[in-house]
Amino acid sequence: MKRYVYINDDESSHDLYCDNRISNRKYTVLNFIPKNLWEQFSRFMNQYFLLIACLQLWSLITPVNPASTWGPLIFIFAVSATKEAWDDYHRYLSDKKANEKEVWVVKNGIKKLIQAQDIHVGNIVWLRENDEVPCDLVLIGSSDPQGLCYIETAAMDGETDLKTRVIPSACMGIDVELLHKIKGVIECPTPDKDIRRFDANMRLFPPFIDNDICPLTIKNTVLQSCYLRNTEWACGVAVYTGNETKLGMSRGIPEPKLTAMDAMIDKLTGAIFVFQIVVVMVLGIAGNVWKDTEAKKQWYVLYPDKGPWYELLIIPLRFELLCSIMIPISIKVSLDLVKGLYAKFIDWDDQMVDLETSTPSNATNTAISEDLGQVEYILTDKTGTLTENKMIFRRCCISGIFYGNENGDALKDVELLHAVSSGSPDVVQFLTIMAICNTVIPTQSKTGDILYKAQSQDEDALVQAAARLHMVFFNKSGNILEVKFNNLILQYEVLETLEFTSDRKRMSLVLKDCQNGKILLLSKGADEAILPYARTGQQTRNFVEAVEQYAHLGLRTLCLAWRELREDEYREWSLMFKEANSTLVDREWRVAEVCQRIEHNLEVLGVTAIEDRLQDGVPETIETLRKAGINFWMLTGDKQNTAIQIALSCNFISPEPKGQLLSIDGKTEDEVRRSLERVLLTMRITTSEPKDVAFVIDGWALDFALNHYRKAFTELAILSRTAICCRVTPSQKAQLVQILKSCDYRTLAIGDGGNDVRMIQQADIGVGISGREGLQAARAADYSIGKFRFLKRLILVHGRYSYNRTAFLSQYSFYKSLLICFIQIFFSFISGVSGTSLFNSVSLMAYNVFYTSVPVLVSVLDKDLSEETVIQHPQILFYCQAGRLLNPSTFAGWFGRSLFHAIVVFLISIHAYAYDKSEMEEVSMVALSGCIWLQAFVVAMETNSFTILQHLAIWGNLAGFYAINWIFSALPASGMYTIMFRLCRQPSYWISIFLMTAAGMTPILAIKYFRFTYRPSKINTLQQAERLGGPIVSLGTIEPQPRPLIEKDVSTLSITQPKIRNPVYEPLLSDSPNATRRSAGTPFDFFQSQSRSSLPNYSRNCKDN
Amino acid sequence: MSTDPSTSSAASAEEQSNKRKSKKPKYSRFTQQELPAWQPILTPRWVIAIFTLIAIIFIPVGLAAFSASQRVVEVEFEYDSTCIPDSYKDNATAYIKDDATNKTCTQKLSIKSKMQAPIFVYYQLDNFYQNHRRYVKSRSDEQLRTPDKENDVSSCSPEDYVIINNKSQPIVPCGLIAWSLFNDTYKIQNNDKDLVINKTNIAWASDRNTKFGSDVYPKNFQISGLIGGAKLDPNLPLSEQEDLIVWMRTAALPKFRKLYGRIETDLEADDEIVVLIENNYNTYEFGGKKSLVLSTATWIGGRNNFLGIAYVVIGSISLLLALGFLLLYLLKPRPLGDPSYLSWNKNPGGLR
Repeated sequence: MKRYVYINDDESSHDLYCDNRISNRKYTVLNFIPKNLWEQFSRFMNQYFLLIACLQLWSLITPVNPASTWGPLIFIFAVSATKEAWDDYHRYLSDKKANEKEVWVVKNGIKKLIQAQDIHVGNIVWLRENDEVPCDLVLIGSSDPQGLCYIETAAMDGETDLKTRVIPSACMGIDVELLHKIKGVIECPTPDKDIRRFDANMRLFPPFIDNDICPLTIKNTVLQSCYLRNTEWACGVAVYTGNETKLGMSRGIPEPKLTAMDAMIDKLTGAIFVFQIVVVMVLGIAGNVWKDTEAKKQWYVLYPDKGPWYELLIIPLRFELLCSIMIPISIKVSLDLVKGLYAKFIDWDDQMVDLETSTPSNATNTAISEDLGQVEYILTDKTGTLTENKMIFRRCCISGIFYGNENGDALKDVELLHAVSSGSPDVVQFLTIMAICNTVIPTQSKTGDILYKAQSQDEDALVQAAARLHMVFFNKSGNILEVKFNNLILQYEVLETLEFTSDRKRMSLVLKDCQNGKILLLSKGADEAILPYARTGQQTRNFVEAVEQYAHLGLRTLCLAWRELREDEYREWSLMFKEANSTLVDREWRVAEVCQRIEHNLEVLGVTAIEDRLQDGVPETIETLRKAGINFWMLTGDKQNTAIQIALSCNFISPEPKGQLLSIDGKTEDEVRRSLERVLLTMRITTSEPKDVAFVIDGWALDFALNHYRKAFTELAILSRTAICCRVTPSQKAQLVQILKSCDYRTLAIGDGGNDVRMIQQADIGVGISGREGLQAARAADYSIGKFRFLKRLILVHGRYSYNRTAFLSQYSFYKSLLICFIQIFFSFISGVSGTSLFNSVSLMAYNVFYTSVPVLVSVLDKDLSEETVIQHPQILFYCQAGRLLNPSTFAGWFGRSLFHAIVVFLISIHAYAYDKSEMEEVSMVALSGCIWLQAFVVAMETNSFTILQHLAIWGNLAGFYAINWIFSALPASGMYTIMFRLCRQPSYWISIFLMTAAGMTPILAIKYFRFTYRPSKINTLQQAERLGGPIVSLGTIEPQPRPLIEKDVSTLSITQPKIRNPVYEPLLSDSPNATRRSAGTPFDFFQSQSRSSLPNYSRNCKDN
Repeated sequence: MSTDPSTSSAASAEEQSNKRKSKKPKYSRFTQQELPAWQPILTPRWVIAIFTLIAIIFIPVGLAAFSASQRVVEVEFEYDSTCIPDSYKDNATAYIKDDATNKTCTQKLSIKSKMQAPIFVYYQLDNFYQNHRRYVKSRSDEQLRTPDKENDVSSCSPEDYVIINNKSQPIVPCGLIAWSLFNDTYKIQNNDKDLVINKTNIAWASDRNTKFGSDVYPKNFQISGLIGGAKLDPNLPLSEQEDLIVWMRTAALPKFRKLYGRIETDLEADDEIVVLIENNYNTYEFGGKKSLVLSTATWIGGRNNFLGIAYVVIGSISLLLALGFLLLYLLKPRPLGDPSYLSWNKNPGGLR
């Protein structure tokens, strides 16, 4: 499909294409309520609660006032709807602002100021310096005589450097006044979201120029949301408007990520649901039996002899409603609230602010903080992530002579300086290529300094180095490059630019030396993209050696080469190039092919070596996180040797005696297979030895491994704690993440550049470094941090605390709901299994919403260990990784606790308030008070550190309970009129309450103390050490753990069965961190069956990939 | 001309830093999660002290509660089977349902020890489910409170309306609870003298004043259809029908006592009292029990040993735990926070 845009033709396109009204809104005023409700009800939990609430409208079965469910339900719905509405309103406001911005547009041949939303496709839009571009434009004019203009694309791809855009050749030289009257047609593809491609053609109508087709590329466009900089004015034709712009098309709502914890909570909810159904069925049957045998005799109940047809259903349904509180309606809201706060804590953290750029960390995704604490694999990019991406030119090799080898800095190498001053032709040519074979834009600052705007840090480093070697690239005006060499100004005219792509791995310029009119081809690129194309007869062994030597030092290498082109050769090629550039289909591929035809027979000049320094704290961070049991994979586009060197220098792998690096290579499928098998065999043998075994694989071999030997590679992936993958493409990075995820590991991908975006989006957690390669990765990521070393704090402090806090909060939520539900169940046994509710509606509603939700919310401030202790003992993270704090067995503990507390409260209430005191409302309030007191003490006992807020919440809540109930007791209309006043005056009330508290808490305190002292978990030991003020001794270096047998035995573990999971029965008593890494349970398998059923499908996906 | 290779990047970084300064979070102890916190840990000293403290408080309180409960003098007479004439023993239901039979029943009770006024007279029912769902909801608080809400009987079915002259009239008070009002009556004689049973102020003041209207009179109550329990005097407002008010405070347990009245004279030890029971209430159909209870009260209420015993038990358990932990602490001291428990490498090969 193509779109034809008629330039400056007001009428033809109005109906065809949308206007420039931007809309990011999800809702309109009319559809808000239905759409929002529909979205909320697509969740199982909400459906469940709605069903319960509807059942409660049937007064025959409802135990309490329907308001006790409708109230919270409406409240919860209102909260999330309000949040949505608020967000949407703000989107509306910002849209409105953008839509009503005034821009100059040519209408009927006259420039007019109109609102941005009234721009139509085909309109000519005029922009002034620093204007924001209102829609996607094809440039037709610019204040620059060469037709250039500069734009900043930060809002789109996050890159802060200026980019040049140029008007199409057909529009070159058209007079400003004539631009108003220009007519023509642009043939362009239908809107898409690729911001790097725009394959279109333009044809101007007479009288402007002959009807020659002029190809357009992305270079001829300025896209919506960019800013015009350093250019007085520019004008262009609107081709895509409104939501059809490139930016508008690439907008999308990202898939919500689900944490392992959320999955576990869902599973536990499922288990409780099953339990509830069982209870309901048992009680329902018992109730019906009792009714038929006993209740018929109880004349005062007046059971009719013959009930309606649904008679048998009534009692089970009553119990269903009575037990519906087992699944706490408040848990979702509480979790959303605390997750928001976890994210805020990350945003606020002062210690994660990059001081160099004052960039704070930012949690874009507020829902997955707990996952940070459960990370098992970190997949990291190298350049810009581990390293600073601050390139410094260090060494070079020109025509076989090594410079900079002695002092490590070629710029200070006397020999090189001498060669430069003596004007050795090779060296001069080498410097020329360094200075101009790039896309750098020099700009002169007010003080006369030359600033370079470069898209690539390598280019920046080379130009800077050339400048220091007296080859100063100081001006670029249009196609003319001006270079000053020893006070001699040299001019070059750029004829063609053969751009860098990651497939070609090189870039070239075709230019004309203005001094002598010769046409030159200058190339620079990766060694394997240059050396094979050296002119026949040239010895490249020198250069290969140089590349190897530099790579060994961890330097990035580039080869520089050139050749002279004959006039006719250039002319012939230039036609092909132009044609290739104007193709609409597969342009990139065609262009690459044409480029190939000229980039051969090169005279290789030399090799440059650029150093990319490691970021501060990288080795320490890797070591700490490694100790925490996290495995590291490095995925880089760099060369194998460079990658290995960097890996060595940042503790990624250990040098020989301690570590072992196995290499998987091979050029053919067969070689790769053999290599893979060999490595796998070695890996299996060495897992029992305390040795750091890592494997290294390059992109070529990885391709075979992923496509043909996926199973073997997966096994290798599970066995290996460390891996280096070099020369991998962005999609391979994503595939590697996929492999680890398919083995059920929690993966974190960290990167900084556009090539990491796919990996970041694919991983369970994506972390972006907001660094020099722009913000693209940071935008796509769930978390963005300024430096790699903040990862340590992000995982160990924020991730761990979040996990611990959510583990407590979620289990506690179930505990308190179960507690009150069990009491209701027990009460039904003494009320003729008829489904009477012991508690009144007000209490039931307030119990979940007020009494029990406040104290637990402040548990987000709880810290079991101080941050310093955790950083010193990163191994403690294991408890989170293995899910030791939230799993079926800990949940069973809470379940047992609520059962025990329910028994205590129930027995004491009915015995202390027996005989003449056995008044319904009083017994109910005694039992409720008991629950409130117990839950306050439970929260207090599970809190590790009390800040003032915790004290306020826990004890204030207890006071609040009495305040609320006194208020209700003062209302004559309420059922509990005067009850609470009466109770508080009775000594037996207080005696009963203290008895419940003591009886409920004594055993728990005893067990906790016993475990804490005599069976301490590592956390407990550290707590003791930390709080008793003793020295916290770190026990030296930690040997890497051989992986447990269960995971080694992968042969039985096919891909279809991701990872054997072991239920942990004594979660806090086991000593070995790796003994049981997993803890998802078979006992509560309710919701897993669903995932099982999808397995065949999923395994097929594995193979297909 | 620039000679410093990092000029361009440094300049842009500075530019950015100025732009972003405002984004830097403000420092506060809350945002940094550094609020001062009290971090208690369970040291042996603390835990043993807590358990000892619980023991020290709970055992005396328990003993006090127990002795208070023991001081209560209670006379209980279960009359459901005693008050059935021998001829009706096998067919108690027929006896109780038959209006013609003589329901009066006389029994001598001896007072073991001195009972000080006020002596509370209770009736106790067992296996009577006032907390049954059909029962407990079968009332209309609105109707009880105001005469205007006479027709507010939706929750009272099936005791909501009666048909009089083909017109359905609301029952006041409606519902199963009122309908099944207890109707046994007691007379007590001491030394052949009638003891006055004071039946005023037996219901909660709040119920009399607020929940039961002083201008609401019984209407159409127990006049036709199935007759449940007691009838009410249609000339007395509900707020003065104290038996009804007491009855309508439903009990949470199937075994419960309800206040019948107070005797405001002391009874001496070895007094022989005679109770005259009008045995009207049908508990025979469902095998319930009825008792008459005379009881004094102390600060803890009527006789109930449960709290005292439970306190002593909890106190003793705490004491045992305290002693146990103390012994454990002395015999097997275990240093807290010993780093040797921190070896991450201990790999018990057998495990898993």
